[in-house]
Amino acid sequence: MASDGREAFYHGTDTEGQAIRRPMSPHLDIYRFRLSMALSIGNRMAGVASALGALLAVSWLGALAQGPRSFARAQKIATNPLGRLVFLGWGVATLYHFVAGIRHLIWDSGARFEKKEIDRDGKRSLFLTGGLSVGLVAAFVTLSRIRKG
Amino acid sequence: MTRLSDMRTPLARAKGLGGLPDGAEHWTAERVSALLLAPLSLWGVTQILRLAGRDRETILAWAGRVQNAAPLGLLIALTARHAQLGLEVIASDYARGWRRVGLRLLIRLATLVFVAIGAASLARIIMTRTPEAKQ
Repeated sequence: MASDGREAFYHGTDTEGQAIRRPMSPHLDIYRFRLSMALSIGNRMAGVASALGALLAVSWLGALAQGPRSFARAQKIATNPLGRLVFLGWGVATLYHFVAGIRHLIWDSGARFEKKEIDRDGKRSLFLTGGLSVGLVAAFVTLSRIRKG
Repeated sequence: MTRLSDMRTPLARAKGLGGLPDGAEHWTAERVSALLLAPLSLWGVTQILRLAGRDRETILAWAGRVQNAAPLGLLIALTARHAQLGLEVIASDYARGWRRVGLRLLIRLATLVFVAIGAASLARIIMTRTPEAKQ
């Protein structure tokens, strides 16, 4: 990190006169926890998870195009417990990223910026993501079972 | 686009200051891709439900139809664009110097791989199937 120009501002001395590296301006650790901060970083992480999951999804499409044997292998991976967990995680992450993304577009228009609105919408976004996840997972599982007989 | 880039001073633009060399356009492109992705992802969810539990032949027949292949291709392309833009913002927030350069290269490479797999798969599915024969 020596190449970081900001380092120049961190030279200081303690009460004994010893040279120390001054602390950076405190930010994350001095604030009381608020839902909005978790939802914000959560949206970022959900975005990364959606992107990684999309890479898996497109690989699944590749296996589908490749041939029956590749597809059988892909389905075996996708339907084993770990594969299902990954698919579920991708789905929930993408749903949350979708909901939080809509909130961002609303914010971009200048609306819903009041503290109370942000708190209320934050909770709503969690309930909406949860509801959509449960509903879609139930629909997916039911449809798969019916069609496979 | 030019109107947005004019919000930066000429010196800032010349030096490429800021986490991203073209932050204003980047920001706009992220929103535009999001706006387009919103309805397409909803379509994607309905298609996942439509194909849940189906066998390979049925899924191939689905992907071979133009009315499915076209939005699927668009979904893949826009996902790639939006993911690249978003990941670049993260790289510019948390990494500096060579690490940022390396991350940006990795993001671009991964995006290209993603698009290549998607395009090649879709092309193969469409071309190896004559829709009339299998419907």
